[in-house]
Order: sequence, then C-alpha cells, then structure tokens
Amino acid sequence: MMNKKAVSIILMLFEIIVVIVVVGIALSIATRLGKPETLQKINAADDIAMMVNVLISMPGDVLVEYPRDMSIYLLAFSSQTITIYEGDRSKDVDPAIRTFILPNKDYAAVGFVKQKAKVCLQKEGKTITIKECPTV
Amino acid sequence: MSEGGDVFELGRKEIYWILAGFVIAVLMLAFVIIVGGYQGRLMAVPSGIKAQFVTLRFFTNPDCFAYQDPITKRVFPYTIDLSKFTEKQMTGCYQTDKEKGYRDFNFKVTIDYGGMSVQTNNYYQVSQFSQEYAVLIWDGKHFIPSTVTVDVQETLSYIPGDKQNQQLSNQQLTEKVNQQATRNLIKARTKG
Repeated sequence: MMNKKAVSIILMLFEIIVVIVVVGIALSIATRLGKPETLQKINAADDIAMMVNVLISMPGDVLVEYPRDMSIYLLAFSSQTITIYEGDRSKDVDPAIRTFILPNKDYAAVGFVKQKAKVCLQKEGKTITIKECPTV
Repeated sequence: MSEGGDVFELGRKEIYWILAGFVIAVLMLAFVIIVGGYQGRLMAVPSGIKAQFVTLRFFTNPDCFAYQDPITKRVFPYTIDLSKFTEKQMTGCYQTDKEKGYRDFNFKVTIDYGGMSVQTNNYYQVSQFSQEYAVLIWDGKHFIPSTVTVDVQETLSYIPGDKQNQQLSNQQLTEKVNQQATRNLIKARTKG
C-alpha cells in the first residue's frame, strides 16, 4: 500500500497541474478572442458583406477599395458568403464568415485574395469580384 | 489509520475529482460563451444600418423595383416602376433560404400611393422596425411623389405559427390588399 503522505503529495501536485492547465486554457481563449487581428477579421467580414449589399444596389460598374491593410488575411467569396482567414486557410480554424443575399441567379460573387495589403471589390455587370487593387 | 480508512480516503478523492472535473468543464464552457458573447456585443453592427444597406437595392437596382428608361437604359434611383412592383419581382430581387430564411432579414415594402405592398418569402408579419423613404412612382405615364415604408423583420429564432398556412395567408392577404389598391387607383384615375 502506498504511503498516505506520498498519495497526498501526488494529489496536491495533480491539483496544481489541473489549475495551471485550466488557467492556461482560459487565458488562451481570452487572448484568441481579444487579439486585434481577430477583431479586425470579424470587422472586415461584416464590412465586406455590407459593401456587397451596397454594390448590388449600384446600377453601374464600380471599383471600391477596402480601406484597411489586409496583408495578413486570406479573403474568399464563395456562393453567397465572404470568408476571411487569418494567415492561411489551413492554419485558421475559426475564420470569420458572413453571408449576404444576391438578387438572382445571374448575380455572382467570386474571387479570392491572399495576403495583399490593398483589397478591392469590383462590380462589373452582375458579377462582384474580390481582388487585389490595381496599381495606379 | 487502518487500511480500510485509506481506501475510503482514496475513494473520496476520486468522487471529488469527478465532481471537480464536471464543474471545471461547465465553468470553461460558460467562460467561452460569456467572452464570445461579450465580443459579439462589442462588435455588433446596428441592425438598422444593415437593413438599410439591403433595402437600398429595392429603390436603385433595375432588377428590383427601380425604374429604368427603356430607350436610354438609364436607371432612376429612388423611382419605383409600378409595373415591377410584384411578388415575382421581389423574389428575383431578394429571396431568403426556403428552410432557414426566417433567420435573415425579411421585408415588407408598402407604397403609400395606393397602399400596394410586396413582401419577401419569409416575412411573417413580425416587424421589428420600419424605415421610410421618399420616392417617385412611375405609373407608366407620370412620376408621382410618394413615400415607401419598409417593415423590417430581423432574425427570428422560430417561425411564428404554422409555416405553410402562414405563408399562404400572407400571400393571400398581400394579393387581396394589392387588388384593392389597384381598384382604388383605377377609381381615382377615373375621377381625375
């Protein structure tokens, strides 16, 4: 039979390890949710979804620059959503996804931009494209 | 202490850790939900702004209700073509998902001139707020100043009442109102 004092020391060590792990997990969650890159990613997804809605309502062709540095993000349109990954698609397990509703089947939102500082949305006819801004 | 007492002591610790594990898991989950919710509240965009960006298309996009000159193809923003003001046109302009669309914005657009209205496919008469716009109405001959009211139904967590019956009655109601409005318009024109 194990010595009672030894058992109690092992249990105490186990308790300390559990506390450290729990505090560590809580801190990592708080840091992940609160870091500026995550917040900017969510903001950008909201902004771009709203920009798409505005572009839909424009009768003509439009080219508009998103006024923030997006050099650490990957932005992709798919069907009726904008998805923004921080860094690479494989590294970000929690991308910001926002949906929008296009008028009918003739309309489409396409394209993706990988880590470019200047990102533009272009509406040509009934197609909205996300791409790197052309150099002036 | 006897050997029996040691065994009891160890058993008690195991029970303690089972309970502690459960409590810690619940606390962690609550922490994630609280922090996530706080972040969501901090970054929330007012729904009025979002709704306004969506409703813009009704008045400025020729695939919605905006009047487009058939010859020059010029689009007249904030000018509603009465011939386009139909449920079919609304479906082509803004259609939410058939199953889960009640979670998105849905709208009922009413023209004060004649009281005609159209609504999106998942509008269940649960208007959370309304927006008014000054517009011109193109009736085929003249531009008539009027006002449009957009009733906004924000995200619903469930469908109020039976969905199919509700949808049917909504459509019937809208059709009835539109028929009455058309009759009123014809009467007004005949008098004029």
